[in-house]
Amino acid sequence: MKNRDLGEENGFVSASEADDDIGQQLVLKETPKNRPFRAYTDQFALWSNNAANVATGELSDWMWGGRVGLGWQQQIASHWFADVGLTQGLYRYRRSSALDFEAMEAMASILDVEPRFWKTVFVGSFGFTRITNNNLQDSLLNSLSARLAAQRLITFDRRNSLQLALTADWDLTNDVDQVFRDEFSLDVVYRFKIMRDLAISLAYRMTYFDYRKVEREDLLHVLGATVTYSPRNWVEIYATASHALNDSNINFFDYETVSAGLGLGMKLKF
Amino acid sequence: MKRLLLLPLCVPALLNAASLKEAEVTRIINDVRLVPPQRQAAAARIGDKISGQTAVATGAQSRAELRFPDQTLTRLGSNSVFRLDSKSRDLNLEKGVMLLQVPKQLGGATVRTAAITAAVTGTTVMMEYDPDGFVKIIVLEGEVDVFLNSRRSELRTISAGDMMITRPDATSLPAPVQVDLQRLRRTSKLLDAKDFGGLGNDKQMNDALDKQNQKKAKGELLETAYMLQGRGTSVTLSSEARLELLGKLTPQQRRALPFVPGTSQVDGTSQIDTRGIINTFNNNLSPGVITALGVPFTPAQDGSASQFIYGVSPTFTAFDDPFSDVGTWALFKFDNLFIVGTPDIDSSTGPRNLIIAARDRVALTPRTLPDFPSSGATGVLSLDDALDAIAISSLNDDLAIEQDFQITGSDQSIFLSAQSVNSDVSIQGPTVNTPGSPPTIAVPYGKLYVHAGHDVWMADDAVIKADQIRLHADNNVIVDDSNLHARSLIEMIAENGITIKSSANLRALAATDSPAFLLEAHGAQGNITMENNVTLAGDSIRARTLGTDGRLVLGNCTSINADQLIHLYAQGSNGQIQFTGDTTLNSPQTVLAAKKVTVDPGVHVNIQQPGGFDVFTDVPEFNTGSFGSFVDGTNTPLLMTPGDNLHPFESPLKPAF
Repeated sequence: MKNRDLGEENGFVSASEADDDIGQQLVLKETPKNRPFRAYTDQFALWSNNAANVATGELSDWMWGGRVGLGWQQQIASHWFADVGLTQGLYRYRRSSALDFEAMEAMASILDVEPRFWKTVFVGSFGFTRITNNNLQDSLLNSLSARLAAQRLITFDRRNSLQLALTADWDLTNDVDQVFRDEFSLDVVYRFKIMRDLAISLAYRMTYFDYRKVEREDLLHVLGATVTYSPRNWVEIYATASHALNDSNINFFDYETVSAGLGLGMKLKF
Repeated sequence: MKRLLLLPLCVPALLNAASLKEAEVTRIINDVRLVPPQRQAAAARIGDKISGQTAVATGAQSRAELRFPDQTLTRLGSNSVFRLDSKSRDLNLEKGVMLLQVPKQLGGATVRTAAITAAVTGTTVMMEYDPDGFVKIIVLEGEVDVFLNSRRSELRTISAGDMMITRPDATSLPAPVQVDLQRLRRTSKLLDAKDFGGLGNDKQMNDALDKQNQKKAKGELLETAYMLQGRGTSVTLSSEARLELLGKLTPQQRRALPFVPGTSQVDGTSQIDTRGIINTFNNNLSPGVITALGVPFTPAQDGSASQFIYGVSPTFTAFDDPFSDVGTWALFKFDNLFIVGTPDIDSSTGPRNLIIAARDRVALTPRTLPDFPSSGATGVLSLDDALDAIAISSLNDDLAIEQDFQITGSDQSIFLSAQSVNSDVSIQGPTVNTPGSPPTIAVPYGKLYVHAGHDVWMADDAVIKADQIRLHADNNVIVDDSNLHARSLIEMIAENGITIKSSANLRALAATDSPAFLLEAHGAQGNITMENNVTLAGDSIRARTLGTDGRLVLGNCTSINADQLIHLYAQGSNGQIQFTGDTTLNSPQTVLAAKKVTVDPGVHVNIQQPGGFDVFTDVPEFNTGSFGSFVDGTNTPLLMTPGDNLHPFESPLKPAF
């Protein structure tokens, strides 16, 4: 026999579907409009104690960065997606204008959100990077690379989550031999949601660079913290601080940099 | 290798949400009790503070509102139990339904059930928990994080319009589904501003609604035919889908429309769409509003109403023509029915004619049963605006219009019937033991048709006003101390007898050439009796008995006044007209016809216009010997002369009835 609950013990009848406290729930069918395109922009100002990332003669400086991008993503199978993105960034230094540069990245990727591996995202990409200066006039670097990555989000509870990523990036072509390289990186990002629209994340990235055309190997550690405020789902304001430490087999390329700054990002799907 | 520098991080201190340790009872509807731990439950009062681990429990049709110091607001639905846990700052819904509105702030509130927890920040959400069945969460505005108590990493964030239903023992959370916020807000008692007032977050609520409406307008959200009527997880077809299906029903399927089980109450809060939907109160499972189907019924195509509604062969057909002439009806069927007020009737796109049929009893009364709401019990059924005709019928039990109840209208047709051989239609007013106002039916330009498988009763100051009043009883018509006013016709036909007594006032108001009164008793011993201050006034008054031994009995200050004629006929071979008390007959033509006409000793029958007075009888027992007399206006006995004003019963000079 079913145990009587508190309500029944107090002489109350049991509930029925006829009760209209909660109201009628007419089910709606979602037919979301396919919005495969995205546009995004990101503006930030970053202070660095070593703007040129050099071993000696560090100069502190402010850098302003602006990025705009367009992307397209479409589901092509049950958990497979195709993604194409194009980003153009402009980076300007307050004092060291010689460091000013622009970077254009184009990337075509296939993503697999793999349910058999805890929804780990596997990514295979081809990317083209073009770095210029003098307001896009002078080409500094053109490279074509292939990338494989795996990303996994582990949610502990509604506030705490951890994101892990492994990335391997091989240059296929690069017109600057000194930076013709392969990269292998590990990312660990811990995120704590303070409020629904306010979160803090702590990130660590370790990247191993293997330069193919020169005898050089670097191990770069970056530790950072970011506070992000997202008052709307299309905008975020963030404050970030990071410490980068590059350990190279060539002492000239060792450097240590501390950076901090503010940024504003916006994205739009259409 | 160089050392890693760790940057000092400035993490904002997490501010506690304003205290959720204590709440104040701010609204009580019906039966709300506070249940402190290990103590007896006590009735809650406005202003009561609850803290510790006190539970709040609500009864049937009961609701409560609690407000916390930080303006977090909780509304509890009926049959619900909610417990505050001041140690954990959790709000525990132990069963039932609650609405929670949390102001946007740090911390928020968490609502915990035995299975899942909802973290609510700057959000309005409704939750339903059935410990034996499911957990339901509906977000009205904002976002809610929902996670399993057993595995907090199993987490979903659901947004405005989302509804998630999961089992208490679920190991994962299902994807939510969108529900129509507009309909939810319109039909939820917990959002009823009349009961509770506003939530205070109208902007957020309206923004969420607007956003959903925009998606609907863009075609990104489509209404389905599926709906959950209220509590629970049973999915039914929506009203619109039902209506669409109704249009496709065959006559056989329409005929098989089931009776709404239990007892239903139609009142001022009921809604009827004559296309075939009724929302009304019912106690079949437990008291609450139900949505039931109706069907269209067209007598000309579908046959007799008795067969269509009840599946029984018709025994009474006299009203078939006017019933059929009305056209198409909207038919709703119940087991037991109380009509206590005027429902909101929408006949804009459906028939303007309504049949409310009960398999058992129908009562029209302002008094509600226990556990039924009284807020819509106005005691008035108003037919204006929405209806041209209404038919109310019972099958196995009586149809009763009780004291303090009124049916009002203008030119509508009203059909009242109680169909089985033991069923009465009674319109009965207050008595010494039950004081009150008389029941009234007032459709001054309309028609009232009453049929009872047994008796038609009108008693105790009942008032009927209509253009035509037609009463048919398969047994007796009894009009006792009641007032019937008709513009063109009062018709009483009884398969047994008719009794009009105790100051019954029957008056036909209009002067027409057609008969104003027609009284017929068909029983073998069926009598028509008019006694005790009965007044009949009209254009023409015809009363006859057809049974072999049928008698017309008049007396004790009965007064019959007709502008054109009075015909009192006892047509059986052994029929009799008997005056048992003083009587007044006033008409240019007064004809009495019976095998035997008797004026009891000492009785005077005052013939106001003796020039038009004729008696057709074989056994004259008046104006002679010890019998009483027909007298003129000066109380002088009339000279009854054979061949002049006294004729044989079967004389060819006898006017047709």
